[in-house]
Amino acid sequence: MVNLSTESNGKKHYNVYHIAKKSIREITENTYLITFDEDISFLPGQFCMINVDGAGLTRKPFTLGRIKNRELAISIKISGKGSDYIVKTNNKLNVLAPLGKSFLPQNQNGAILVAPSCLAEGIHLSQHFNAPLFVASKTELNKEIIDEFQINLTLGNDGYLRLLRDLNEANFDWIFVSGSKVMEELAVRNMPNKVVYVSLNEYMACGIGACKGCAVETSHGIKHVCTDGPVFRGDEIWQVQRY
Amino acid sequence: MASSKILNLRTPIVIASGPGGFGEYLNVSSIDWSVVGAYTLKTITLNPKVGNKPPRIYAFDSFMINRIGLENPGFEGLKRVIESGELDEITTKVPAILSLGGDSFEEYVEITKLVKPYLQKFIAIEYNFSCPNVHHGGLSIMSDRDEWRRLLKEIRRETDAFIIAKLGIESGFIEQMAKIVALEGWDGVTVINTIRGLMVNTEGQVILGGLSGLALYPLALRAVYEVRRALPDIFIIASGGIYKPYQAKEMLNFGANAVSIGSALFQNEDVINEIGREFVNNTNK
Repeated sequence: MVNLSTESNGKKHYNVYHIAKKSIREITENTYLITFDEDISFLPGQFCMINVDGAGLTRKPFTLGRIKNRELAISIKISGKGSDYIVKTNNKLNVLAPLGKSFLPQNQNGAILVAPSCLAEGIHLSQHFNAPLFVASKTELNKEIIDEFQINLTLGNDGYLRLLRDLNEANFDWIFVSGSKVMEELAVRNMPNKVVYVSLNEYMACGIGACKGCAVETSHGIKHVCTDGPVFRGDEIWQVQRY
Repeated sequence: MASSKILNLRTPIVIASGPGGFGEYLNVSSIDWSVVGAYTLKTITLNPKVGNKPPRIYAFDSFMINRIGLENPGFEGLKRVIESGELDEITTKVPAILSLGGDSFEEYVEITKLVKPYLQKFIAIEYNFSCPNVHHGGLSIMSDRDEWRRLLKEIRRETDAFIIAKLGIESGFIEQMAKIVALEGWDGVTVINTIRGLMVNTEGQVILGGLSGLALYPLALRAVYEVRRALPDIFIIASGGIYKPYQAKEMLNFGANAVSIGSALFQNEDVINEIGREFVNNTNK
């Protein structure tokens, strides 16, 4: 609200939506692509916080996406009671959105690299910026989803490292990466030739800049994922040795 | 001797210092602010604090632990938003309570002096004597009982504001602490703050911080009960694990004058409307 935070938040307005799931498709083991009947207005890179009823004390954060530039979507990996609730409940979901800053790359010459748990955002950014979509997964993906969204799939750790080496030499100015912290750090450290953007997923409680819980250390001091991010330049988070 | 001043709140619902930040929840369109009695701002200290290194927060089913470390812009930051008129964006919608903290006796006194010109903007000052996440001040300021008592006396001498001491349960029996607060002429107490706890997150990182959430509720209720039994007149804000209207009512039944909503905001800020509706309906009956 008022500028008593480290950084100015500007004018913000957050809405609570009650939205019904339209479809749930398995992307890979334990990981799903969920689409919704209703729409939420948001900008690329922004996220939402979803209430899990009695299955947890905090809402859970999810980056927002669109399928075919229309249908609102999230992707989700079941990792606990909260995510299990979101996938399995038949109730409408209580969603706080849109949150965080939008992702604005320096130009359109980039590539999108995501884990299956961030696929909805990956599809959206790929279509929005007309950028190729790479998915790095430990397990096989649903073939229909690979075909439908023209996914370049890489399996396993060795495959992921090879992909990073290839992308580092490819003709892109920037690479957007969204996945686990380990996956993002590897991307930043192994693509020193590129501007790497990472969508961070620090544990958060409020999602709106109030609690100061989702702090990350950056080269510019402490920042908050929910209001300063969620997308940061990778070299602000991890030091990169450039040659 | 104990003050018998009453804080006139339009409803007995208060947003807790900390989880409510610096008014960010006013940006959430679904909250009906007419049912909120006051918004307690996040604690301000004399000098800015960047807070603790991450990770800072983690939650399980019934409790969470935070180690934010009083991140705040210091007195100069507060002064800036008051003088620019930004604070009025909050106070035109809901009365505000200022929360103050410090790293030492001197800092508590100094910030008390500095905020004097701005007190018409606030209905009360809550002093944070119980943050478990800073090495100096907070909870540790109470470890030397004589010094703490001198501090209470000094602050009371410095200000005519409605002053409230936020107390935890780790520095002695809370009713004894509240008696000291009352004897020094303070107007109210907020009971309780978070309690020191330890959790390991999914990445195996140990989080040493303050425990809050549902699990705190029976401890806070007992604290309210004990303080009210010891002090019939002091103003009590009940704080700790209030997630449901029945808990808010129970706190008032056991002697609280107001209830503070904190971590419940993270689960669903609609808790404010739910509890608010309950009070409004009861008042209208």
